[in-house]
Amino acid sequence: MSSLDRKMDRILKREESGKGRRGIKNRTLRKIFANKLSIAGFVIFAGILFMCVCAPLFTQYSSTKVDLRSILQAPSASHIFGTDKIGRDIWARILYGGRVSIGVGFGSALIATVIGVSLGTICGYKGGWLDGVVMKLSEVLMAFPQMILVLILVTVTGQSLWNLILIFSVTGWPSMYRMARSQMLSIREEEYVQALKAFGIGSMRIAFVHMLPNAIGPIFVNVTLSTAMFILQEASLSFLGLGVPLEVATWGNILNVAQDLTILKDAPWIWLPTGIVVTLFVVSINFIGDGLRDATDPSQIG
Amino acid sequence: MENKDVVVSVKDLHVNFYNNNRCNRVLRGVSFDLKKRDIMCIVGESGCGKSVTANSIMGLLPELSRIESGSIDFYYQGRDIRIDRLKRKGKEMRELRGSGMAMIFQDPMTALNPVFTVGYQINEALMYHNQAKTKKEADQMAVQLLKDMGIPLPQQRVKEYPHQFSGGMCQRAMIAMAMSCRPKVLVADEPTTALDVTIQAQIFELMLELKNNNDTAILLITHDMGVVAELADRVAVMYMGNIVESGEARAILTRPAHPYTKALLDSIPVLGRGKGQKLEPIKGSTPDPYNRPKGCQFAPRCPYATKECETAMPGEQTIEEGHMCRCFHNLLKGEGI
Amino acid sequence: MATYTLRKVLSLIPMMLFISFLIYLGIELMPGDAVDFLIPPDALATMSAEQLNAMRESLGLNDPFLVRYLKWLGGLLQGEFGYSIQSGVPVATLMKNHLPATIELTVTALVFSSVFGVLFGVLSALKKGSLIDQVFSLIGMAGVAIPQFLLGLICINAFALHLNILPAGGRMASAGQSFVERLPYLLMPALVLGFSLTAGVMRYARSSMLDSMGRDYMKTARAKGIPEWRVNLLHGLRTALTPVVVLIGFRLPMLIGGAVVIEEVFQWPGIGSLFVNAVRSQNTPLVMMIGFFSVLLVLISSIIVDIVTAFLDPRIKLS
Repeated sequence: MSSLDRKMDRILKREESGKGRRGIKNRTLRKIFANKLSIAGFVIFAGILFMCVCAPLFTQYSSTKVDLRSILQAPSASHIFGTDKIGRDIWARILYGGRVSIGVGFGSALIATVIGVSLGTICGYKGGWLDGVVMKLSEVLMAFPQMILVLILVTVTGQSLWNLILIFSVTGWPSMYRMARSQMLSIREEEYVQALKAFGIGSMRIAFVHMLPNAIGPIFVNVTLSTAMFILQEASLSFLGLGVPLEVATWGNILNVAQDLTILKDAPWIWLPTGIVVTLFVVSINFIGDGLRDATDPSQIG
Repeated sequence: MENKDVVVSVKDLHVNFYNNNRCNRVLRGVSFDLKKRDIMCIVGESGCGKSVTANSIMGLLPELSRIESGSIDFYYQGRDIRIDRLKRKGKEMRELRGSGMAMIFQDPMTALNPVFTVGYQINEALMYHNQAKTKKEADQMAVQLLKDMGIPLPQQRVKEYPHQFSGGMCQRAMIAMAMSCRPKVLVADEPTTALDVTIQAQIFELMLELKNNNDTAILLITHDMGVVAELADRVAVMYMGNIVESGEARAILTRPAHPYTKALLDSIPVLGRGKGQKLEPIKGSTPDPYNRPKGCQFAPRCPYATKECETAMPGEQTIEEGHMCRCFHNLLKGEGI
Repeated sequence: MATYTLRKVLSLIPMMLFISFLIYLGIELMPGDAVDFLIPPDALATMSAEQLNAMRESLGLNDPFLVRYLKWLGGLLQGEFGYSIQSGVPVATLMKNHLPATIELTVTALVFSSVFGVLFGVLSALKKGSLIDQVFSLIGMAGVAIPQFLLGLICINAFALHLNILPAGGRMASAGQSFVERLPYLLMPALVLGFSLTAGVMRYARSSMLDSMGRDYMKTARAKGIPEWRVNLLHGLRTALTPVVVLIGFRLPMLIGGAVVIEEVFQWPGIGSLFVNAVRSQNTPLVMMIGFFSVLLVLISSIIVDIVTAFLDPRIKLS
């Protein structure tokens, strides 16, 4: 008897004993809760976020204070993840660095979304020359490999935290614009929009108040995935020494020292925990995004 | 004693679906015989188990489902093959499909693979059932098949892709594919639902012709009573996983015994009877398959229902020669039968 | 086919012109005198102010901006890409020296991730819900979430520094080295670079395959009685392949972006490390020209993807 048969027997037995399915009525909520991974993702996400935001509660060290008497110490009771080359506490740097990294990632995703979604909503609804111009602009920006474009803009603007957010927003909005625009184009064909037009309601009001909320699912999914992508990009750029200036603690800047092969080999406590935190955080965001996508996609049965 | 004309015999078939961690008892004891050169129609509302019956015979049930009990016998080349015991994806079942029994589907546009030419897809069936030895031979046969189906310019058409065909032509190509190995049984799952009415008549004509030329038994799934009246030799009416009434098409259409059959017939407008005709919609809707009535499945919607109906599903009663009905209050009772 | 390709190429020209204009704008915006990167620095050092001015006049540097741009564009078409302000070496020479390494790296990564991505994705779709499916989906998640450079660091740490079975970096491209001899150097960077693309292709191939497996024509194929492997691989995979090819094409820019980081991590002497060094030293002409060529590459690959999809899917017409 195959495992599939055994599973079927189990379901049959439960059904016969009269236990059907019951639970949460709201479909979106039910689907999110049914997806254990997205719950786990949310817990990890919230945990890391909370610890970073309330960093002073979890460490007494500062992320920038140099302590030359305790350099390159392995993890111990006083420094749970050890210290780096100039005696800074790694745990404190991870927590305070997380604030900047998450802030850059989320902030850029948010700005890119606001720009992209507003343009996409207007252009998708109205079309015309504005749509043509914005479309061409987005095509130009998307013709560059993202990483190359970011680095070109870094060369032009110079390195700073705010420039980086600006650059991420500039490179990130086209995909948001495309997504919002295509959503609007399909919603525009629906009958209720025609009905609203017939009532003589203003086009901006129709677009933003009546149509946009129907595209909110994909937009949320995109915000989460963009946040994850920008966090990874910040880490890569800072690792190359081209992201946030080195004196600011970010996850990428902590990892920057691992370019040194002796540190890479002999002081894994500096880079490995940081790397794990970055990965965990990005994984958790992706799980949330996947859960959201499944929950808001009406084409999936459930 | 088995009638030697019987090709497929289904007995007390129970099939369950196990989707979403729930068990849906889709077929709850279906029995019927399909005879040589017969067209048997299975009618009923959507979700009543028509297609599941067809798929069980073809061994094409979905992954998360199984035959719980009952039997399907296929009498083929002098053997009695128990289809319910064959592995669905096994070699024996596979060799039956396409050669012994074939199937055509509801939407011919999606039933053909868009990335292969029509000829290639017909060839596949021919080559795998050793109807053609070489590719060249298969090509020629495919052209001939399309020609037989009344497709103009078959030489050219075999090299085209399904998207270059119209819906009716796709269905002809599907029938060509299905008939390529001269099967004993053709299962047609709502073959004309997706087509225009005019095309529909042509397709049925084609099927009738093929039946007469090849002695094929046809199991026709439909929800269209007009089609039944036109084509069927025998009819089985299904409701919620049971055959509630079956028999000669004429008898069923003119003297329905089951309240559901009667309701079904009363709900269809008849051409020529004018505006004055009284249509009786069936009250209520089909019950939730996960929350079925205890007794007769039709009881909650049945105008004749009594206490008895709510306790148990009535058994199969032969009410006249070749006419079966599952109802405590069969409507022919009063006529002294 | 030829006219289709030509039309596609022609349609890119306005875009390339606009981007080249932006690139030229970037070069012009660079601080310092334009002469610095138009004349080899050793020649520049010996010139007097008058000579320089005459030079400027003869080079057309006193021309209006648009004229200068058009002249630059003309030069571009004849292969004059300007000079690196750092070393004075022509950009064309630099690119030519670094290009083979990058091609070797990215093509290896691309082939690796296409083959294994499709293979693993189809396997998980066929065995949906099984242990192997879950393991693959875990790997897929990791591929999306682990920063590439971190994976590179972990691999260097494990295989080069501790196990000592692979070199930590470099390419060993001196003359007379065969590909097989270079393979140990190539292996780690290519696999690390390909890993996230593999994960992406795998996830996509899985869902595309699942979608294809649920289609009606699969049932038709089964009803014909052809063997199960043929149903899955021929009817299922063949149809599922088109969107996967499109995805690989879409992800190519990411591969190029990833190569920039990976070449740095593994000290791979390709265009990527050339680019990063140029950014570090504010070597604008070099940065801009590499940027320009990356766009060219992306646009060309998009045409190739279009042609391949039209070839795979007869519903797309080549006209």
